[in-house]
Amino acid sequence: MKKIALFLLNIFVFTALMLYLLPKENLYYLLEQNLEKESLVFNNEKFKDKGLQFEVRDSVLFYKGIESAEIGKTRFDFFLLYNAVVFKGVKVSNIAQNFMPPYVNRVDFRYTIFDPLRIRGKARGEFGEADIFLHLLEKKIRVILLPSEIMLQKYKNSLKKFKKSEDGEYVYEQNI
Amino acid sequence: MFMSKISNSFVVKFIMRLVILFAVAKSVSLMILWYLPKEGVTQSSNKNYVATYQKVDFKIMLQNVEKGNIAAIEGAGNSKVNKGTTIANLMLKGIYATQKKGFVIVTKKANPSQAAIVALGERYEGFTLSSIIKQSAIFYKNNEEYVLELEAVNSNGQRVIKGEKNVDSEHGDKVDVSKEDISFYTKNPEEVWKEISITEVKDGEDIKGFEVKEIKAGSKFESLGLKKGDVIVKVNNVVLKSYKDAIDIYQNVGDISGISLVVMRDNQEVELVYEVN
Repeated sequence: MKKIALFLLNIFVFTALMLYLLPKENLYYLLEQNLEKESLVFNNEKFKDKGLQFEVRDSVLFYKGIESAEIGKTRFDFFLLYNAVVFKGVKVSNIAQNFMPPYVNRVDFRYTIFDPLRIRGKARGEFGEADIFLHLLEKKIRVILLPSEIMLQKYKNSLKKFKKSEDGEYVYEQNI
Repeated sequence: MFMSKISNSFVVKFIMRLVILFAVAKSVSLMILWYLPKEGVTQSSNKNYVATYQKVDFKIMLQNVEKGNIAAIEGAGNSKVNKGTTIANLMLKGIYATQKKGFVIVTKKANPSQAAIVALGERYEGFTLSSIIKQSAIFYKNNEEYVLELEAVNSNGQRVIKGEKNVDSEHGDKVDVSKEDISFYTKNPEEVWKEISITEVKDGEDIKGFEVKEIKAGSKFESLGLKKGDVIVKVNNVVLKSYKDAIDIYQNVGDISGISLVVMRDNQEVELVYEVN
């Protein structure tokens, strides 16, 4: 029993050390290469490795070569059982402001091993609030949006792709 | 005896174990690093690029090519003007230039249909073309420098494209677009979509233009000569192959003094030319 406990302790310490020592900046570059295949590119980033967290500041997001948003802070949390990516201080570009209000306070995506087939996300900003679900097995994205007054008044066109539910929520589903 | 006690103590064993785990973890992370990319992906952007409309009268140019009237024409009728000013009786109709080579198309004001192509270093009417800069060509004659400008500049500092009849356009002439209208639509993009609906036209994965799906009767866009079903394929000689191409032009439209749209209409290319005043 003692040996098993010691073995598990070793595994835990080794994993923690691995997570701490991982070359996160280079892993981020690998992520960038994969995102580029989806026409997503981040520019001008400043990195800060905080051990179990990795921060990227002041990045500019390009989608299909079009400047789409400035992101104040992106934080990656590596806790093995629980991982997260949090975007804070997002300002969408002038072009994207044709479709939504400019400021998004926070967007976070969380993945936990206890819900292995789903990535959950939450976004909050001038557009309102949104819950995002990425179903990994079904390869499907589901967004439930509770739009703000500004969104309802000025950006009606953007809501056309959403289905309105009886309780005032707007639901968007798409296979990915 | 004392050393043996220390080496067998729990603390030392624990520290030793930690050091070993750290060394293994570090080695593994270094191995991972070996296989990971060393640089990220960067998006190049050309924010300062503005696709301006440059009208070259190829019809006249080709007439002159047929007549063999190409450059190096020396002879009488040279007009001498002051150093650094525009050559009075010559007109610069077009410019083609790269860093190392280039040519210009010039005509005499008295006979604008008689155009000539003059390459760098060649002479026309006694003037030797020495260099080509952004909107003008510099000639030398008798050790004096002469500047021939492509476009006139009005008192407001706005560039003006000379009002030649546009034989290819739908209306047979350029259409005026006011800067106020452009400013209004760029500041209120939602107003654009109330008057016109545009969607991409794809050939497989590639975008080959943007189709006018709907256009509001009596709207500004209709008055510009656009019609439902038109597929916009080029703006100011930029082929529209992506949303980025279209958006780059949209973002800089306030800085453009002339706009040329090439649309596919009934399987034929139609050029629509607008002058921004």
